[in-house]
Amino acid sequence: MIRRGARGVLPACACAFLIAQPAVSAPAAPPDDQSEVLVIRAARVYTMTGDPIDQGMVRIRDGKIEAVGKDLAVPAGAKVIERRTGILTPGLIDACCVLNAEIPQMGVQPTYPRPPRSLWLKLGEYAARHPSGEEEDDCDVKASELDPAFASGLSPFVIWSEESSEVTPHRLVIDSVNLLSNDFARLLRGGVTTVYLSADSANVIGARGTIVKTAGALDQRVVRRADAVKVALGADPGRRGHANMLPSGGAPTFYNRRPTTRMGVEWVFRKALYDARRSAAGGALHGADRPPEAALPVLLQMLAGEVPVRVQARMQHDIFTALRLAREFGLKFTLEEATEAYRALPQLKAAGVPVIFGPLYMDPAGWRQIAGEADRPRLNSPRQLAEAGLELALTAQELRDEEGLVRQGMLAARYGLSADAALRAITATPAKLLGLADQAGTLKPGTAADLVVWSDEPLAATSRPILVLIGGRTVLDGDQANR
Amino acid sequence: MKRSALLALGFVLAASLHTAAQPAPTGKVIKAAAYVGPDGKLVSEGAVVAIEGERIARVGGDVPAGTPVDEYAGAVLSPGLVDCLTTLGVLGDLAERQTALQPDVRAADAFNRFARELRAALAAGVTTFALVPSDDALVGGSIAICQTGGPEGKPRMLERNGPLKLSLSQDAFKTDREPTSRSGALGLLREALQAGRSVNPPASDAGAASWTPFARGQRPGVMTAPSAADVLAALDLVDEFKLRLALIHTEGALDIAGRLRERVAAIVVGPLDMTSGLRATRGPRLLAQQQVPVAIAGGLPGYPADTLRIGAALAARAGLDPGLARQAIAAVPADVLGVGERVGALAPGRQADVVVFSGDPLDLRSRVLAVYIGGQRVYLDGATAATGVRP
Repeated sequence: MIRRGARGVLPACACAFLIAQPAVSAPAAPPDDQSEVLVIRAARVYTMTGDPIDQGMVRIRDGKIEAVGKDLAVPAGAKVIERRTGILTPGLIDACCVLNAEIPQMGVQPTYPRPPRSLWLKLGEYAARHPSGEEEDDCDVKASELDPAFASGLSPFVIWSEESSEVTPHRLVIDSVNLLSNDFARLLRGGVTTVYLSADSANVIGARGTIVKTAGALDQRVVRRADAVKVALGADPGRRGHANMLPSGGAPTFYNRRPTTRMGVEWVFRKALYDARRSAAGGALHGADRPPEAALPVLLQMLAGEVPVRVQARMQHDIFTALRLAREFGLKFTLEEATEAYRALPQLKAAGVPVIFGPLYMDPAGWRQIAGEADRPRLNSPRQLAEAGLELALTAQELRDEEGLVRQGMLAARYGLSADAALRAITATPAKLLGLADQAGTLKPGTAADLVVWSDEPLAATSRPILVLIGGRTVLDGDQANR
Repeated sequence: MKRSALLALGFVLAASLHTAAQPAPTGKVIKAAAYVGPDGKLVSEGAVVAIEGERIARVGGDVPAGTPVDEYAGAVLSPGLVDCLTTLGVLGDLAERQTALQPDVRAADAFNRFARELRAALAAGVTTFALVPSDDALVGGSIAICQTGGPEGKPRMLERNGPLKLSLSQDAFKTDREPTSRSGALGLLREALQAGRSVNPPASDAGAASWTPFARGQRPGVMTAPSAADVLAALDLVDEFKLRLALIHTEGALDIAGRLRERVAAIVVGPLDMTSGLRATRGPRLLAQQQVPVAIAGGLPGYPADTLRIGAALAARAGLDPGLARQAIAAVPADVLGVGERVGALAPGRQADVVVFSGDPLDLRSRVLAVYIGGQRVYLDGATAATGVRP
């Protein structure tokens, strides 16, 4: 299907070649013996800023793209990587990734507090949980095989958000991220180089997400510590309370949640923002569902547009609620998940709301199935969103491997989105939505050399990454199909 | 270094003043075939430890005529072993669950000096141990530093207000109080550290008096950091707040050893036992290669009393220098607990805590023949007593 899409743009492509060769080139940098130059040749190069370049080259200097074109000069001393049959794209960007937990989070069990035990019993258990590991002798940082999952994130049934309040925008997702988790290696094997890690939907106003690279030196992995605040509308914040699902209730814990209804969710959201305004004006806060004191400054920053806001809404009803709340408080926001966005196209278009759509599925599974609000999905939603002129990024959220981000693009293209638009929705557009347009997502000169060489057209069903670079450094080399 | 030299001098002066005030000869000498030197290496020349009162007056040299001598033929003298991570002698529980931040709680208040397991620890050569608040709170309170014996023959408290205990373990996340998550835990800790630094505590505020010095890097702390990711988070806190922190971390040295140098006071590894994997037993060597001080914990009383020495032996077997391995169960844990100038080495001015081993302490065939705490012999092996050592 990628071929079909590509055929559509071929005439334009040929014209562009006639007019503007070389396609992209930065002014030649002064010769400098200190700088590290790398040149990659591939059968085709998708720059995402113009048409693809057949038999193209990318020249990288000191970790940044310096030039992209057909016949670039290769400076003396430059390292040359030949992937003459490979297809080169920017590294993929998932704008709403959710980390997978490797083991359920032991410390936060949706049960009653455990009886106290001696420290050493616990340490004994801990030791038992950790069988012996690798035998390497060096001290370099590498993905840890055995790190406990408490730090790595979410599975569809495990809550890891801070639950001491419904309103926790003062908490940071980065604190729950285990940069050494194997999950990043899985993302990397799918060609994903940058991820926005989102809070989950347990809180009405949740923690602030973070942007990280999936590989590279630890010190350079975190692109932005604190990014957007996650707002969850619909059933998730109410239903995520485990105790609420039990008719008999349970011992009072943070897992007995309010709110339990859409009325309550909307109320908590509005109360938090009105409380923030009230406290800024010197008024005293009162009543139930007061936001924590430390949350108030962040809420005010949201209102002032200084902290971006993302809203997760699946049903048309909740998308309309999001638009109404945004009007009430003058908020700009990005819509996440957006299962029924195809039923709110004119409204979203009018409000100029960008959409991070996904994942695509026929039947909801896991938490989405339990939430009961994702039973009207449409596989052609990406096409409809693009045709309506909305800014569209695709996300795989918690999915990996065969269902991962590149497959979201493939499926979107299968159901009508042009191949070019599908590729854009997992590279250039998420970069733009994350405010990283000048750093990632395209092969524009000056951006970081995060790129993937695929064994075939990236959206072809059998295509796999065979080389991945982040910041000009090779982080994956060779076909990973059998690993 | 300067400070420690001055302090040592102070102890020497204090010791000599003490003897001047008491003309009656209180001194004695312990003599053996070898001793563990200040660098942890075995020294076979002049294995003589001269004791005045509670302190070591001199190591090496001759035995003055007329001084009582405890001589152990063929034995090795070691500083009393120090276990910096135990729940020895706890009465009840060390998990106060009321709040996540409780710097003013003290483990000393839960110490039962009559507990029977203290005797087993003493017989294994452990003279000093830390009673450590559990991992169930982010800030669990002050560690108590205790001894398995004393000049009066009874276990005693060496330091009531030891370092502050902190935890990034999942055990600190609860369902009925903040935090429930790692994001909450780190957020809460940062807020508390910021608040602790900014206030000038009134003298009456016991909590602030305990927390503020820590938040300002003036008071040492020991933090549980079970995974490598926890260690990275702790390092961020160290960098941001200039904390004096030792970390309890066993498994991840392979991943993070290169980042610890001069950022943490020490890493506490262990307990290590026969079931520990290579990932754990090789940790001390990897850390030592990066010039990170390593303490090995014995995990008493949950583990057998010999585990401290077994841990050091396993670490040495996995490549840790034997001298460093001997220091890892004496001098370094004493430093971690902030009592490195008082115990943990056979050196003039230190408290006379001496363990007489039948051979190298790292050799697991070696037995404990006798233990001295504060200059008094508080343990004597039955077989050794039968050989006619001075009673």
